[in-house]
Amino acid sequence: MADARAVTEAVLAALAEAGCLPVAAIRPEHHIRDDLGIDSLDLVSVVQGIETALAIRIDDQAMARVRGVAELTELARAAPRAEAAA
Amino acid sequence: MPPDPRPHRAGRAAALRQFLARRAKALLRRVRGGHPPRRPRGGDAPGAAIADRDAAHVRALRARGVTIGERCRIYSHDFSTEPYLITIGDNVGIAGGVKFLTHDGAAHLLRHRRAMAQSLGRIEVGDDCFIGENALLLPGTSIGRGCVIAAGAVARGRIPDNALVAGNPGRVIGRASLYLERMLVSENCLDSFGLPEPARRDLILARLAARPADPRLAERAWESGDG
Repeated sequence: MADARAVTEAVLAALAEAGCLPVAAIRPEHHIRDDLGIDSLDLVSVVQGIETALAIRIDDQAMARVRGVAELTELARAAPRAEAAA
Repeated sequence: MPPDPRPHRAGRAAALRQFLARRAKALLRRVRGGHPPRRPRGGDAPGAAIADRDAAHVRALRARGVTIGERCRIYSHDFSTEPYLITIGDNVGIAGGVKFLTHDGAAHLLRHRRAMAQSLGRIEVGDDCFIGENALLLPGTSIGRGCVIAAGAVARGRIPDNALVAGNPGRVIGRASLYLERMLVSENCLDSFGLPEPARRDLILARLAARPADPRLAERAWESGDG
């Protein structure tokens, strides 16, 4: 399980890059698509960025249900290390 | 009577008359109920007519030399001048406008040194892939299993299994399986494939027309390309 602060930073950085937004503009209660304008294609890229930054593997089916920033952060926090998931 | 100085025009007019006569006969038959409506070979199962049409196109491409696996849906017609260099696996969807390019035309610039020079490359698409509308596959491209190539992407080189590729130059932006899992539970994913068109239209309008259009979805129309 990754460090909580590192996870939050990685999630915010990936979302900010995909949505062309400042990190400070992203709140935990934001909806990823409706509030941040990040669509399904961008989100795949976001997950890839988080996984690479933290060396974790996020489960596809669990990720399919994620809608908000807080949910994504929580999922990344609980995700296993990449080598353990392989 | 002197010969017609424009024989090609006379031939064209005769062909047009024959065509119109055939259409008129067919119309009369339909009006009088002479023939029952054509039924798809697959019976009345959802998507049977679509499957029949897809199979005919696949047969025609195989006849041109393309190697194609089972259960493929192919809408593209552009299989290059060397279709025998293209191999497509099982359960592959290829949207309209997809272009397979099996040669590099820059060889033209070598012909003052090698008069017959051509640079060629095979293209391979693995099982369970989808190639989106207007994607371009360059010579030497090898796409692994379970990949999604986004509409308009320019794919080249070796693409690993389960990759989602987008852009020009195309790059792997993530896992195709994640994209598909999210599509499966998306509110825009309906059970409309293969329904008779009136029922399909009603279902789509009932589910989508009541909601305000999302401008972001319109901007990202790349997801379309498959019926």
